[in-house]
Amino acid sequence: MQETSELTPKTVSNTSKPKTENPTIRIRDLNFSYGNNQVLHDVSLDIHRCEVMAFIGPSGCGKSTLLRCLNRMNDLVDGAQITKGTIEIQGTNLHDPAVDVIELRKKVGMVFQKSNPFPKSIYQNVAYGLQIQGIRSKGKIDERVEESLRKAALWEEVKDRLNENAYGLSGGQQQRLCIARTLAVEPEIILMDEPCSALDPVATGRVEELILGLKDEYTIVVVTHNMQQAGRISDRTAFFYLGKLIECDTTKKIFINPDKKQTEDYISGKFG
Amino acid sequence: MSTYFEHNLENVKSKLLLMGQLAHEALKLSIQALLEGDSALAKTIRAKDEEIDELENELSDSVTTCLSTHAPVAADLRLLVATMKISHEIERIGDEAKAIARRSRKTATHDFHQIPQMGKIVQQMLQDALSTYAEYDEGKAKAIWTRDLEVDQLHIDNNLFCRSLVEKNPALSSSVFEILFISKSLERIGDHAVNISKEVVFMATSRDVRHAQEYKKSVLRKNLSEET
Repeated sequence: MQETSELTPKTVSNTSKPKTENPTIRIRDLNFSYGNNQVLHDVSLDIHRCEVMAFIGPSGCGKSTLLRCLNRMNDLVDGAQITKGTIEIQGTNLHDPAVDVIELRKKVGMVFQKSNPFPKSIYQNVAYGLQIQGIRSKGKIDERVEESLRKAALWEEVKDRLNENAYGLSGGQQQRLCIARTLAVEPEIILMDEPCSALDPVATGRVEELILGLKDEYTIVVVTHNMQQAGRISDRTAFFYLGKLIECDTTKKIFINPDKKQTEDYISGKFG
Repeated sequence: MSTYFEHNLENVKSKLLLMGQLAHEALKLSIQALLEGDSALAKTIRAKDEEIDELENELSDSVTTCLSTHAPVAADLRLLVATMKISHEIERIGDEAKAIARRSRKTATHDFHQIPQMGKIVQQMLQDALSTYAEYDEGKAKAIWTRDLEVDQLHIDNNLFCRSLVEKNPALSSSVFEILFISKSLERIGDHAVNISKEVVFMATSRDVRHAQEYKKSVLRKNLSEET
């Protein structure tokens, strides 16, 4: 992956319409298999800068697999491979031999279903990524830790106990800490795999508010089983079924008047 | 979707159709009360209007419960949103029918000019609007809009007629005003039927045509005159 970012200065965008500029993520005819089991079939999709894209669909439809393709997390799974098609991020093919996977994962951060803080202090959780990047300046790290915790809407809650163990935080706080950890290394894209599925409604609300705030600066892709959450936070929604992209449109269109009956049946809870 | 939710949606639809049926009956009786001078019918009409009001409250409660507990989307959501709006239109029709019955007792004239014809048309418009709701019939909904132009024209005729009556005999003015108000009520009922049919278009297609330029009365009138 090229280190130089082609991103222009970011602008606030609340439009729910698909953007017309070159997409940040461009997926074309993607086929993906775990061994002999093909789980994605000819998926083509564009994801634009500073939009929240929700992936929805029943379990096993391939949405998490596609999400993990976007920062090559699937490289870590035996037998997992893209059999056809391409993924480009800002014009660079993810599978170009020149791509540095570590750099890619800095640029494309990920937040998982279950919060997974390191068994370290709150401060260390956020600072860790910076330290392994080789940043030594304490002042710079302090500054970035505070900035990240503020962006993750956690600073006010933890600023007086930064040296306490992160395991002492509530589930919702731990998840926001993981988001802060992701933000610290200054990604451009954030992938979230069911980020609120283990959280109560209050914590869920905070993470959703956070996502809505972050989309001014970051491109966010969220996998969710919660239809209302997809409706609340995303600009566009993509519905997957049996490894195929069935429909992708503005979230308003998908939830008010989807084109495909399969989409309507799924979001109405008639199957899946 | 759970069977329970489907049952709730059916229940909401049935209540709306029952409200519509009651409003239709109240309208029919109010015109009968006027034309036949049967003031005793006013009591029956009032009772129907109370029933309509009660159903509107029940419907509102049912829709709120459906929205809050099932978080419906797509066609189910459109059905519930449209039903809430249509119930308000029907409630207003009930009020207009009650007003016609009340005013019919105050008028002394026996020449109602275009009112019987208006009454027939708006009854049919209401019936058709309710059918479109039951059948999700967009085409039938649009046919109602052109009929409303006819009602508007009859209302204008009534206006001219009433003016000439008052000019000839000013002593009749209070009685004539009642006729004018009744004509206005019928004209409003025509508008409510149109509003219902526009909500049906939203329900069936998700298009909001309430203020769409191509369906404004002036445009429809122009199109109609070009066709003829």
